[in-house]
Amino acid sequence: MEKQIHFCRKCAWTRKMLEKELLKLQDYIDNIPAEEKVAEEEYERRLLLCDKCKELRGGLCGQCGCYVAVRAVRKTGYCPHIRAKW
Amino acid sequence: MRKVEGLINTKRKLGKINKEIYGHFSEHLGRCIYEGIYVGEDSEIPNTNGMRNDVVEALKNLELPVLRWPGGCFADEYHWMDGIGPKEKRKRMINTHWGGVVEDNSFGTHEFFELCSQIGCEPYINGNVGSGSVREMSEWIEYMTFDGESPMANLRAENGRKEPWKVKYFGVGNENWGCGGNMTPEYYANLYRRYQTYCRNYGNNTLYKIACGPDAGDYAWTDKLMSIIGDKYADAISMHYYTVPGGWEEKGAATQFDEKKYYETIEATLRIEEMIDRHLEIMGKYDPEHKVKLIVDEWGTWFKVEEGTNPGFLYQQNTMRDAMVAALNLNIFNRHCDRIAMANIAQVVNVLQAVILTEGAKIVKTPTYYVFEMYKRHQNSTLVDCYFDVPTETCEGFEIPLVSSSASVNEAGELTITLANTSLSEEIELSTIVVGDYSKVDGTILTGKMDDFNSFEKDDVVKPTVFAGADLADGTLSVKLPPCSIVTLVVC
Repeated sequence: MEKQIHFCRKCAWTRKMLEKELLKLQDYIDNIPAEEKVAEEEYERRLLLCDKCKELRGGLCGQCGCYVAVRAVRKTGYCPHIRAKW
Repeated sequence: MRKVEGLINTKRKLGKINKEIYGHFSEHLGRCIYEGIYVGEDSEIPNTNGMRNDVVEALKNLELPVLRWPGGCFADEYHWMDGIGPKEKRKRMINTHWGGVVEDNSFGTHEFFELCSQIGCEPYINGNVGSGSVREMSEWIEYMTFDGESPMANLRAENGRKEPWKVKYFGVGNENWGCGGNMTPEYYANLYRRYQTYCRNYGNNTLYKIACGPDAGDYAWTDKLMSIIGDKYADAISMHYYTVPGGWEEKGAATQFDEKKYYETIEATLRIEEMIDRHLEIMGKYDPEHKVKLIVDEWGTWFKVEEGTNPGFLYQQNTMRDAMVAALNLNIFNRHCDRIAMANIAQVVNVLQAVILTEGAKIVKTPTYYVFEMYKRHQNSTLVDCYFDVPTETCEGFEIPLVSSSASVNEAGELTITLANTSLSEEIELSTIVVGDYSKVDGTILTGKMDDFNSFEKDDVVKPTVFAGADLADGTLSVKLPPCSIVTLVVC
């Protein structure tokens, strides 16, 4: 009988792996070309609005599942809320 | 152009395609239940009793037959009493496994039955063996189905529901070889026998009991499980198989992939057929009359999450490649309908190979959605003999059969044929004799580039259109299948 490697969703995501993903997030933001990013002031404005939003949960937007730090940085980004905050 | 010949014999009937093969799966994971389905009664997103109207309408259109809940892994740590009673008093907890989000239990048993009622589907409840008790499981069934005077029926009435619900499908544990308790098959099989003893049939409610079966190609699990439960204690066993091309580290992104990855995905997904055949063969050793069915209650693609989203939410986009995976799997399930009683794609909204994606008030139907729409005519129809002399081609190093098919006849005598051309480069011309009294053919096609997808900005890149590439003359059906295409033909 061949060796079976079990594969389930929960086991696949240990906390350590999650932390590794979070570190990659900053790299990801840093590597977005400057011309695709909004100005620093606009970025801060957006994040402040996200901070005040009740949909923000642990850095995530409850409406789309994105890290707001990523969603807010792109010029093409938009607030997904039915009453868009930015 | 490649020419392929075949024969469809509608006189040779091979079994009923249970509508439940077109089933779905909803878990408290990421944004599947919360935001994807349930937004709460006070949401500005249009809803009925908290369920998104747009999502319910889309699922009704699929004639979604059965919905599995609450998991998945979540099922084996779900304590159903946390999710009943006044919502403001329900337990709030941090879901540490899935990105630290709050689980407020606002979606519980009553809400799930409300959802099923709105969709018009059968509920499939998955009970907790891993961290629950026999009593907890037994009382949940009493709560849901007991009609009359009993502690749980009285509690249900206190919570606003006097009449019992109908529950047919009940799973006793989930992935107990892994997240559901890391059990050995011997240990689980004996636990299963004990737990299911107290899963009672109350009144005229009859449970269809499902034991936790194997992960993918774990034949040892099936063998040991079946040797202990035999043909007396379960109506079905479950099996899970995810299409993860190249393995966990190399599975790649949902939308950015090359032709090699496409063909690797096709090869990976087709492996399910051999697994099904081997599991069924083992099951037959202990159940020669085939009383115990196989249920594939988690299947579908698994790619890297979309950039910038919580990796624990398993949110991925969905392309023509996913549509092809759905088409191939559904044809395989149809062809095994004599022993596959149900299948549930993972998952219905916003998680893994979803048929629907949501973002705030927006909704997108994925290419996979349209495959389920195109295939729904098979539900409860009779599988008939459908053979093609399918060529196999080496594509980027992978051996790929170029055509997938299945055919069924409904009560009105109409023949439905579903076809897929897996090749990215070759048009295929099918020529098949159709045995039966038919004179007219209509078709629908889903096609595009392998990485085409629907987004919130452009939601109609991939959608079905009328197919004019089929012709029926003198009992011979001719079909020109473009590369990377899925076609449904209705012949009458």
